[in-house]
Amino acid sequence: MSTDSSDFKRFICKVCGYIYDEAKGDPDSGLAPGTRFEDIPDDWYCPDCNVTKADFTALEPRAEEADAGAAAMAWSAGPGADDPDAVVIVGGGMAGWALAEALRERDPKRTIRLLTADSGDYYTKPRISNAFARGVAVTDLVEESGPARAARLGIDLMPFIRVLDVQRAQQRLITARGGVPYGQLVLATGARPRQMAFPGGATAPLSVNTLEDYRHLRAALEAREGAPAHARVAIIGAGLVGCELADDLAAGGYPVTLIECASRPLANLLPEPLSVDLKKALADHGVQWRTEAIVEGIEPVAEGATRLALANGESVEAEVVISALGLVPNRELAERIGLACHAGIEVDALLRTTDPAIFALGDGCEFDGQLRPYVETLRGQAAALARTLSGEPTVYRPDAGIVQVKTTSLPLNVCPPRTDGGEWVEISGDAEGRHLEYHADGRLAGFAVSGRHARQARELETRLGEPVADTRTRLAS
Amino acid sequence: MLETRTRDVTGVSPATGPADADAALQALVERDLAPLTARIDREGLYPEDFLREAGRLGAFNRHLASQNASGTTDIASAIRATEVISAECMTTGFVAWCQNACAWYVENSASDTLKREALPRLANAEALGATALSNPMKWFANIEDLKLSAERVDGGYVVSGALPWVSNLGEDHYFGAIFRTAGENPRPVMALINCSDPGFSLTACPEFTALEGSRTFGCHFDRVFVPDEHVLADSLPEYIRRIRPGFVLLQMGMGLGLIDGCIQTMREANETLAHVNGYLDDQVGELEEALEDGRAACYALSETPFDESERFFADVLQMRLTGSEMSLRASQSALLHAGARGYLANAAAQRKLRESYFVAIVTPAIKHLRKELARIHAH
Repeated sequence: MSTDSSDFKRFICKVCGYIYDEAKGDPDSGLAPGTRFEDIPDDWYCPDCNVTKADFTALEPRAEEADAGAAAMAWSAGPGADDPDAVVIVGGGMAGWALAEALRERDPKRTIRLLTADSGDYYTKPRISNAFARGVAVTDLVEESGPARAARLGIDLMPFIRVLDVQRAQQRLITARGGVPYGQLVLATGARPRQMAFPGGATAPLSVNTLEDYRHLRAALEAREGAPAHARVAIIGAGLVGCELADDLAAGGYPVTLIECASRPLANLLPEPLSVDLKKALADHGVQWRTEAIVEGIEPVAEGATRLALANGESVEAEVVISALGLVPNRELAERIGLACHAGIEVDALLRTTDPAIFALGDGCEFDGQLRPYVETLRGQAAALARTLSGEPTVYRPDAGIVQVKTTSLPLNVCPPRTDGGEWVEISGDAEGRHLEYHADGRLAGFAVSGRHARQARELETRLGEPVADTRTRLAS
Repeated sequence: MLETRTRDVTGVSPATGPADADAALQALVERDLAPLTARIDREGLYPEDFLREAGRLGAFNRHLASQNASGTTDIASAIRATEVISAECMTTGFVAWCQNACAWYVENSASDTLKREALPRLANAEALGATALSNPMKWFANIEDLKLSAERVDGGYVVSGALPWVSNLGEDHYFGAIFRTAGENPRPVMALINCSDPGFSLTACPEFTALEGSRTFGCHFDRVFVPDEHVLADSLPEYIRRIRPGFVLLQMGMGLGLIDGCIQTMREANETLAHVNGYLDDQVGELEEALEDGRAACYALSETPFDESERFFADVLQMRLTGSEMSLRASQSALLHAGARGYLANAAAQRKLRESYFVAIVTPAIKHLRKELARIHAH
């Protein structure tokens, strides 16, 4: 028996975790301190679970996992101070953060709590649309971490949490981390991509609505051998997201096919000449178009590729398939708790839902019978709602509703007319862009500008509703 | 118009505690279980008669759509039954969960034989059952290796290995176990084992600090034959995704019931000590509010037990974590409220303190839950 105690080894029972330490032995079972593991008789049993020596193995300490301590706090931070007068915002997208910021500016003391299903990291969603063209790395899309932004604004951030229920009578949110009281509740729950199930057995197409989605897309693209040139991308739907992503992925060197059921992109938004220009601009940058095409199924083919079968009998092959079929407001929570909902959560002029203590803004709400899933809208709503919540009831006045199409190949700004009694008039048009106006009853009721004219949107916005001279070329509306 | 509307609140009613819905079970707990609680805890008395009687009352079939009168998977009601039991004696609440989990495995399995032969008897506690999934759950979370292995033979598998401590066992009890198959296509397979199967043996465990009456044993498999008809799931990942939310949610009955019991202990202490207990951190009202919040969240999650999304499971794990943390907080508070009388060896307060640590360490333990949540939410 060795007397060099530094030489003693330890062995662990694989079944129960009991540790046999040669230095200590197992005197209760007749093994004196110092008994070597190999000298233990075969009829010895684990004192805790009765298995034999054969179930022991040399002890190898496990290393601690990186960041375990920091991660622990995120799941166990309690709801914190229970302030029944708190403004509680549900949703950590642009609308939720914009409201938190605007409200804090007006009211330095009010408890503001923001609950979000993700990390709360702040990013500007439109920047996702042109990350390649601007050369922005995915990691640089986060402008400020959730905790840093919360600390700077003096708000309580509760990340990684979903609201399971709202007890309206008690003014209390129910979450898996506990109850959260509110004085006023704001639903900034946003919208999610419309999903369609395609037969054929391929995995579901990706969709891009959050930074997390975009990370997955980039990871899927970059994982492909021969990316970008040999990672073909098919995008279903030539709406805003579809066109912007197609343009940007093409800029990143990916072969992109854009599939649209209408005859031209953004057919519901753009007057025809601009739509045609956009189609050409994207084609000039390498985007393959399949218009008047309906995807009937997506099936896996060899080597990680998929084949999209089109209704006209043609097919498109791609390594990565993206679905961009528009947005659906997240109104499930509002419906569950009995708030009036139509396409979105219905709000009045003060952005109140049918419960006067509960408000809504952003992509999830429906104001005046319309969904307005645009950044400009949520900013205006956040400004008005911040005033209302800080004691100065303020009616939300919708902006002109200018839609920015951030296709780098041909940027567009469109102010869709809210009337259909007029007509589109081309003011000027050339290879570098167009300037179209919508005239109704002799007044400017909308406009669409592209390319080098796109910057005129701000000036045109100020002229909305003003009389116009009627001398220009008319186009079919 | 800026008029203030009348506040018409048509929302969800506040969660109600288990007392009203479970009067018969509550009466049984008071009559048959309460007199035995201290012996169950300290002497290792197994509450077998109570379990069988509770089973006859329908305490263990509520989550089994094929076995209850309403034909629904009512996880919330199953949780409430476990709450009623755990509020008095969490050892018994724990074995009630074991019983529920074992039947849950069979209910969701593809084995018609087991559904016919074992499930009706598990649902009314004529047969008793357990769950030996602690090790596989830790295996899924990369915490330990699988401890059982099997080889394919004609008509089934031969399983060997050992599990350290499995509760609610007895000579003819069932339990669900997962083993790794050898040979071609090695994979985990789950089956229902009976303690009377040849080659299977139970060995006594060292004494635990609480829950001694839970019939917890070491399980030794010496070439135990498992026929194909007793296989619960061969395509295990799909099966686990289906059963795991219910498995974890059903555990919530232990924590919620324990907290309820702690509040009761605090109330009793306050009859004579309110003038000094007011200086303690957690008061009855605060814990009651937290308990009602926990119940509301738990019952809301119970509405969709077959939601297989990772996102939903993250909520379930978060709920379980919150339940553990609240249990520790409540039991500490109960002991502090009760003072020295709560420190007596037969006192409820110190027993609940030991029981609450079980809620926090039984799989999935607090550390396991945080590790899983960190994985799910990591980018």
